[in-house]
Amino acid sequence: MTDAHAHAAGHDDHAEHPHVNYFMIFIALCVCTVLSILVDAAKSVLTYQMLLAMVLIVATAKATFVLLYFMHIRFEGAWKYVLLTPTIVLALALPFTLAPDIAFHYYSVQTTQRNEAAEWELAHRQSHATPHGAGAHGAAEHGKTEAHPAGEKHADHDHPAEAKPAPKKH
Amino acid sequence: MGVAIPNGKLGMWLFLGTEIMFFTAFIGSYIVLRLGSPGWPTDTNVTHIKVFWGGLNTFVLIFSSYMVVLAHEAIMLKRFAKCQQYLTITFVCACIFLGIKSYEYYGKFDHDILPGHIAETDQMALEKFIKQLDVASGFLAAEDQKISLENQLAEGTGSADSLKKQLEEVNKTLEAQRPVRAVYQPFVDRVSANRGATAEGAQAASGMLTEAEGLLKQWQTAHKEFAGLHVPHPILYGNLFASCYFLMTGFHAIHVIVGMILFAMVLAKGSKLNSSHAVLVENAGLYWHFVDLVWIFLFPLLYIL
Repeated sequence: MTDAHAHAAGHDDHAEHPHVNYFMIFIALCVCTVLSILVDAAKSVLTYQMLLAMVLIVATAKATFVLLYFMHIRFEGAWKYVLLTPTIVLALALPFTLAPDIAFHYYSVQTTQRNEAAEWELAHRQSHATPHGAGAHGAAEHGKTEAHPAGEKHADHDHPAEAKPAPKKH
Repeated sequence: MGVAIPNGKLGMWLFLGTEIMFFTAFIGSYIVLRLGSPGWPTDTNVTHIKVFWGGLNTFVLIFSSYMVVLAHEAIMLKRFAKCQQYLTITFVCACIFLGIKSYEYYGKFDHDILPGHIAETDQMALEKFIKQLDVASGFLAAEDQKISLENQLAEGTGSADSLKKQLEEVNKTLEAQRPVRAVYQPFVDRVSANRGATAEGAQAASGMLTEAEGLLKQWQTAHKEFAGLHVPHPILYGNLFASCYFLMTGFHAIHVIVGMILFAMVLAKGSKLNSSHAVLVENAGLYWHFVDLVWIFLFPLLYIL
C-alpha cells in the first residue's frame, strides 16, 4: 500500500492501485454464491435464525469483496469516508424510522386499527332497524348502506347482500 | 481543498451515494413491512420464486463485474481492442440477466402474482373465482359495455338512437349468456351472502373454496367457456409481496438497462477508443459494480429468506 501511495504521488493518473488478483476475487464471489444456494438447499434442517445469519453473512462478504476490490474502495483516499458516511447514515434513517410503528408492535397485530366489515354490518343493521324513509340519520349517515338495489331477493338473510355481485367491481 | 480523483469519477461516486439511499429506501421498507406482516409468503411454490434462476443471475452479474474489471485493466494498459472484447462480454451478460428476469416475470404474470390481483383470504379467493367465471362467460365484458352505454345515454353524448341500438345488442348478448351464467349463479349468491368478517363466514368460505374445485370440474364438462380456469388459492400478504418484488427487481432491471447504455457508449467508440476514455470505462464499471452490489442483497432477501 505504501509504495502505491508513492506511485500515485509521482505520476498522477494510472497505476495508482497495486495489482489485485481479480480472478481470485471472482472465484471467492462464486464460492459465496454457491454457498448461499447450498444454504437454501439445506433450509429444512436449519432454524430460521441460522438461515438468516448465514445468508446475510455471505451476502455481506460478497458486498465487501465487490466494494473493496472491484470498486477499489480499499485504495481510495480519505474522501471515501466523507462521501459514504453521511449517505449510509441517511440511508439507514428511513428503515429505522419506520420500524417501530410497522415492524415492532407493542400490541398484537391481530388487533386491527379498524374492522371495516364489522362497522359496515353494524351500520347496515341499524339502518334496517329504522323504518324505511323515516330514518333521518339512517342512509345519510352511512353512505355505504344506501347502495343496495330495491328488488332484493335475500330479505330472509341475517345480513343481506346484493343479489348479484356488483359487476363494476374490478 | 481538492480531491485527487478526476471530476467525472467524483461525480459518479456522489451519484452512487444517492443510489445507496435510493435502494436502501426500498430494501429497508421491504424488511420493515415484512417484519410487520406475520405469515409473509415464503413458500416458493406459492410465490413462484425460482431460486435456481435467481442464483444463476447472481453468477451472471458477478461474472460480468469481473469482465468490467478486466476491461478497465486493459484500457489502462492501452489494450483497447481487449477492453472492448471484455465490455462486449459484459453487455451480453446484461442481456442474459434481463432474459432470465423476463422469464421470471413471465411466470409471475402467468400465475397472476401481481400487486392487487392476489386473493389474501378464502372469501377473496371465492370472489376472484367468480370474477374469472364472469370474464370467461363473457358476462363481465357485456355488463361493462352496458354500464358505459347507459352512462353515455344519461350524459347525452353521441346520438341517442345509435346508443339505444347498441344497448339493445348488448342486452341480447346478455340474454344469450343467461344460461351459462345460470350455471354458477347459485354459487355466486352463496358467496355474496357470505360477505362480512365473522368467524362462521370465514369457515363457510373455506368450505366453499374446497367445494369450488368439484363444481368447476362439473361446469367445465358442460361448458367449454370454463376450460382453463383454476380455483385461486389465497396468499396472505401476497399483494404486498408482489409490490415489493416488482418494485425492487424492476428498478434493478432499469439500472441494468442504463448500464448497458453506458457500455454501448464505450463500444460505439470502435477503433477510436483511447486512453482519454479510461475515466468513462472506470465510471461505467463503478456503476456496474453497484448494480451487482444491489443484486447481491436482493438475491438472498427475495429468493432465499
